[in-house]
Amino acid sequence: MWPFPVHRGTWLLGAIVALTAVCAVLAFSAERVHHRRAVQKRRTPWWIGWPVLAGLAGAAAYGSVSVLLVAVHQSGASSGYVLDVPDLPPDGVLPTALLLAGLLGTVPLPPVPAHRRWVLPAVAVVTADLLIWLNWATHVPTRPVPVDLVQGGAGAALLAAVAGSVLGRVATGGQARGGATEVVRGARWALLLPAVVVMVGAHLDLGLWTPPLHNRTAVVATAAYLVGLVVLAAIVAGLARWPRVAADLAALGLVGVGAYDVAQGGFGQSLVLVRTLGSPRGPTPSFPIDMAHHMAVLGGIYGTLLLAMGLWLLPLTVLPDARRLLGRAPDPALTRRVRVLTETRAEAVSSAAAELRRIECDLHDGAQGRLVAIGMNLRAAEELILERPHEAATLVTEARVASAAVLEELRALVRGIYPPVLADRGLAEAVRALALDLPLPCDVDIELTGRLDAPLESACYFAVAEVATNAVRHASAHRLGIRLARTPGLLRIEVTDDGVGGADPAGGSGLAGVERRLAAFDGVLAVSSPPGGPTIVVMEVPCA
Amino acid sequence: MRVVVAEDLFLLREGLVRLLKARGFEIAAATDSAPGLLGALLEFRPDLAIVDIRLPPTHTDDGLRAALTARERLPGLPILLLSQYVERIYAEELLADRAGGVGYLLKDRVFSDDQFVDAIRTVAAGGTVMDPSVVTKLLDRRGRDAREPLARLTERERQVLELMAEGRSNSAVAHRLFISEKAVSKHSTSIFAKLGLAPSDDDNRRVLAVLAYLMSVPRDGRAG
Ligand SMILES: Nc1ncnc2c1ncn2[C@@H]1O[C@H](COP(=O)(O)OP(=O)(O)OP(=O)(O)O)[C@@H](O)[C@H]1O
Ligand SMILES: [Mg+2]
Repeated sequence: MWPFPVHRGTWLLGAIVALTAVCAVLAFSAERVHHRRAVQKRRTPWWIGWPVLAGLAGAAAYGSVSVLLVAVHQSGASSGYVLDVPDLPPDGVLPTALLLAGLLGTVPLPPVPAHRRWVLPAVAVVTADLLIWLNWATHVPTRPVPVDLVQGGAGAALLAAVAGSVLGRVATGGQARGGATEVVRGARWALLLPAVVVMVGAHLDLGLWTPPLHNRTAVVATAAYLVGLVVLAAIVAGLARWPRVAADLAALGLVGVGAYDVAQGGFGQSLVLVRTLGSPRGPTPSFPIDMAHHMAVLGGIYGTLLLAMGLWLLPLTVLPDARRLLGRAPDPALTRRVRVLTETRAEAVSSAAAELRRIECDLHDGAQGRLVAIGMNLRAAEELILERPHEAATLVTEARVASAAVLEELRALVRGIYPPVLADRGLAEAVRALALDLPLPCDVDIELTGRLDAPLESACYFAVAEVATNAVRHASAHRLGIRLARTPGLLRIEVTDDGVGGADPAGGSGLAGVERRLAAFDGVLAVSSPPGGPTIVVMEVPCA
Repeated sequence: MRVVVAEDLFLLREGLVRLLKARGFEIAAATDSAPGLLGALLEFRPDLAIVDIRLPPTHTDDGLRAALTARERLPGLPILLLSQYVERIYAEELLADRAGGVGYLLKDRVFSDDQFVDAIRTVAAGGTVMDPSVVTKLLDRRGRDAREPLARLTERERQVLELMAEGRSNSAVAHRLFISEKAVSKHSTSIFAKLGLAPSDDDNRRVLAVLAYLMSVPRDGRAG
């Protein structure tokens, strides 16, 4: 058990931390489910997020230890403290919440690109420190006003807004796609935690936020608090629309908060007192000197970590954006798009050229050669027809047989270029026809009416053909499933088999070729094929 | 016998007309488009239509569609499809009403006039003719699995089945395989027993039953 008597508030704070943890766990599992569902192609490097995680771990350590310190020092002291436990907890509870938010932001979202991933915990850090700062600002001695109510109400509103937007997404099935969603999703969860703290604290009347003592500054303090909330709301709102700007603000905020804490650690005790009590002009507390030292050192460490985190983020956010604003660097999104288009165009051109070469070879070695032979036969028959009609008849028969063979070859060739059913009836029928010809039972489920663009139809058809052929050739499957569904803006193709699994685009040229071919249409291919099966290949292509 | 020919390639159309006339058929109309075909069929009500699947105006499967429309209005109208490709999906649509009087051949089958004319007569008489390449494909697909009943057929029975699915009569099968007609009907009884099909004396019903069997989806890769 606890080795020393603990103030009542500390236990309640523990309860709040626990509640926060529950929120974090819930958010964590929600993210995990989402992540598992999402078909993510690219992976971010493993080291992304570690500095963030380290910063948050430091923050949490600092927060926890400071809570502990308060408990320790309080147990030893009896009276004369101006400083009450409820004055300190935001320092302890919020960093703990930050750790959870940070874990949330970094651990379950590995495929989210770096500049989106770190923004979540960064926002949480800035949020928390802003709240702490505003809390201390309200400590300026003044007459009690119901600041608790304002804070509690604002926290509840924030929480309701967050919950509302989360529930709204669930209700609409999360249709929206696009870059900003991960940020928004993550930021929502990250902000949820401090919001819960604020709200619960206020509603339990814990006095987390000690009422101001003097009338004079109460209005200023309340206004400052509200302004802080507005700034926060602006950052949250901005995350959706201008993720990069919001990210820049958050990074700058980290640097500022970190620098402040480092300075505080550097200047030691006096600053601790200033920060802790809000104003050196307030009543001087009988503040244990060793506790002040502890706080100073810990605050310094905390600040160093935050500062490091902010500095690490600067070249990822503020600097490139500034350069872009100054016209020195192109828009990164545009640059990426240009690179993708250049790559896929080069691949499309070279694969078209290779295809033409193959057709040329086939024609040259097959049909052309046979037609020459047919011509020679007929020429010889022409000469023999009067004198030796029997021999001529044999030659003509040979020519006929050869012409049938040429036809057969041309048929196979055309089928490989553009299957007749595809030309006649479109993708849905062509895939049905393909399934009929497979030597395995195949469940076909097609929700696709009307025709798509011919190039897209062709690419999708050959993609299905390759994946289905793979299932027949490699999977030892008993059954195959082909699903085609077109939702507004997206064509989704799913080919499954109950075979042995182990499909790997790196293991051959087929799947990689499909991936390249779809990339020309901004389409993607994802393979899930654990050993032992089943194999699921999903292809998604945007379509009008 | 009065025949309507629909084929958009001039040379092939003329060749067909010449061949048919030489064999004593009467050409009611020779057209080069799907609307022309539909009009001619409804107007002349011929004994047989020879139809290219791909016809103007859209150069997709207009010919097939026009022929099927005409057949809906004139039930039992015998139709022989000619195409550069044989597609199973089109064969199924053609066979869908299970009424017989349909055929589906590759264009180059025209090269061997005797067989082509045999096919014409079979279809006009209400029989069913299927291109050997379709039948081979069906047999390949169904015959690969050792647990399929098809795998239990003897080599000879397989040959008989193949010819039967192409729409040949017992005597034609006997002729092709150099065996007696009695032997053919013995084989066919055994085939029907092995595949679990109800035996039938009617040539056309037999062809349809065999084709339906071959086109059906195998129950499951695991099952026998
Ligand atoms: N459905 C599947 N079940 C099990 N293994 C598969 C499946 N599909 C593909 N594979 C494995 O993944 C590898 C890569 O497939 P891919 O289509 O890229 O090449 P390939 O089929 O071997 O050759 P290619 O398609 O170029 O002729 C295959 O070699 C095979 O081992
Ligand atoms: Mg392959």
